[in-house]
Amino acid sequence: MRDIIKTSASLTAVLICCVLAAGCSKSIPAEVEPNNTFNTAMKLEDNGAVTGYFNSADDVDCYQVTLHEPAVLDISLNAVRGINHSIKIWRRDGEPRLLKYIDDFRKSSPERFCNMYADRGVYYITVQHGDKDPKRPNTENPYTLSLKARSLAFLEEKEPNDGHISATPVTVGKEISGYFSPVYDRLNQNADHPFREEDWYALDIVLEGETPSLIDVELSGVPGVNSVLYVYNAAMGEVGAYNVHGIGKGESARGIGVTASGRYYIMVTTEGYQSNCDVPYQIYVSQRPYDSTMEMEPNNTVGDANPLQQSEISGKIFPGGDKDMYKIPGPGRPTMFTIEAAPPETIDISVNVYNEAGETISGANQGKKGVPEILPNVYASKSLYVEVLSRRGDSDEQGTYRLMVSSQPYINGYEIEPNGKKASATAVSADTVTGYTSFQGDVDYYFLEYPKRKTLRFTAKAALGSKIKVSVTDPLGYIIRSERISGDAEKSFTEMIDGKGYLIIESLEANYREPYTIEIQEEK
Amino acid sequence: MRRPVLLVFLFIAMSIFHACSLQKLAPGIKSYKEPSGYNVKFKAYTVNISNPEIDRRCYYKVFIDKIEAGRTSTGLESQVATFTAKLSVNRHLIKVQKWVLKHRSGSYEKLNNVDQPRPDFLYFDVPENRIVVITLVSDAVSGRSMFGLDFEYD
Repeated sequence: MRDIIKTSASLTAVLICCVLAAGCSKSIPAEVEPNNTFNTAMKLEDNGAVTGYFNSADDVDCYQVTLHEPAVLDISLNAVRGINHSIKIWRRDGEPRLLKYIDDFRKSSPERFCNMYADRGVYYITVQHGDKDPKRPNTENPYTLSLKARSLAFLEEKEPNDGHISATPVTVGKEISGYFSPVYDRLNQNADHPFREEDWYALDIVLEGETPSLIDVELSGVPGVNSVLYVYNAAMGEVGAYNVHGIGKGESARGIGVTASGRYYIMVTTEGYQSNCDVPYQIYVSQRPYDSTMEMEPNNTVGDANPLQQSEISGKIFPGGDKDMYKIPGPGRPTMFTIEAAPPETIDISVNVYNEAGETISGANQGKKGVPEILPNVYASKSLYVEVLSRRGDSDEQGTYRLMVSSQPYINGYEIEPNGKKASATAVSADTVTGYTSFQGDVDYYFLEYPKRKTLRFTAKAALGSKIKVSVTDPLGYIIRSERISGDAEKSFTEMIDGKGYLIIESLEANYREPYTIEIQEEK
Repeated sequence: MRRPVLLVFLFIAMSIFHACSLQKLAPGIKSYKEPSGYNVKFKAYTVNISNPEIDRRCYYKVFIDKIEAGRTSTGLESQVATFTAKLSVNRHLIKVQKWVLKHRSGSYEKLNNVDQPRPDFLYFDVPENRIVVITLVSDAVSGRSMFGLDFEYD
């Protein structure tokens, strides 16, 4: 009796399994050929799946999906051994219009597009061979095309948003999410980044009273993805490109200057054609008022230089390679400027100064992180451009530098940089020469000229803590005599000037804040 | 009585006039230049330089009575380099030191002692109302030097 019961139970179990298996295989219908054209497309539920075969080298299997409500579709095609396949998504607007072409160029690999936004209407999904490998039939291994529909979240990317025309609107102060999906966009014909999947967002900025403001854009990190963030203005000019952090980390664009109401664009993409259909990214845009003590990006070139309206302005070196340009308005009379850039501890900062012709007037780079750069005596009567950068490529997303500029009217006898060569020597017409050791290794040339040979007494005084070498030359600039002066000490010596000669001051140990002085008196 | 007196006066006047005209016009007779800003002039140059390549730019540092008094003008060794000074009427010692340009460093450097002029000193007298001219001539071939002493003339 027991044996009979055992046998019956086993048979029942086998029967249940068979029924279940039959039920499961029934839930995924097989394609019905011919379905190679839109007119013969096989209908597919918006939460359904279908299996099919690549019956021939040029087989195209066409499926029709009808949506009665807007939805976000997750479309996936499983891997087929030995086959590089692809998906095309079409919308029936009279004639079918291609919306998306998905192909990862890999054999035996699945395709997935997890957030295709679709309004109500009729769509077609075609499955065909990809372009990578020779096309050949495969009637042994079926593919499975799956479709899952969900409703659109309140603030979510609307694919396809692969260009600025189809950009998804984004609003200041409201987070929006999206997916780095699919891997490739075969419709992207960008020559620099062909087939790169890009997500575009349109940001409309309204300035109250047209008062300039700054916007910050934050892009969250996604596992397995090295994200890249771009910002463009209404004319599609690139405002900034941000790819500072690596895989799994987000990016941010901060302090982007907006001087007029209008549309800006944010584009996010990945480096190296990565995707993640499981974890979305978030974009958050904030807006803050601009005041003239803050940098306004983009200001990387002379043309985009921020005018310096006050004696101090702050900015950030971010991302790596960032250059910030500031314009000092022309004072209209000979003026000496003192320019100082105080960096955060994380940055080795550099400063360059250019005139209106774009020629380098002065520069400072001590090559140390967190150490201020000082240009104590920049002479100008016209506009100057000050460039702040990090030669090492340092960047700091949070830390700000301070750029301070002060000025005083030019006094006769002060050195005029650049005067590091004979040809650019500062002509001396006063009894006292005043100059600065502007940077490590600074050399200052002064030109002395008298009607006849003269014996002069030079009294040199170095700035506290500094060390200088004072040399007197013959008319050709060859050194006749050199004296070293240290610290706050004073040293006098007599030397002859054969009608003409040069006074050369070499910085051995610099003091960027205090000047050296050389008094010149005629010996009787 | 009046005639002999007149003749004597005429003779004396003619003698004075003749003497004056002799002093003014006599050829080969030079007058000493009066000192004003200086009463000692030192000149130095080198002769027998056969190749311009070895004609270096130089100057001479001048020591008077063992105290550095200045230097000559700069120029090629073959050119006359000069230095002037105003000294008291007395006997003095002049000693010179030759410096040459080293193009590599862009500065003048003192010649090694073995290459300094020999002799490199001279005792000389400075008289009243005269400008003493001391000339140092070096011979590039023999390596010897020679001091000359004269006065400066108008």
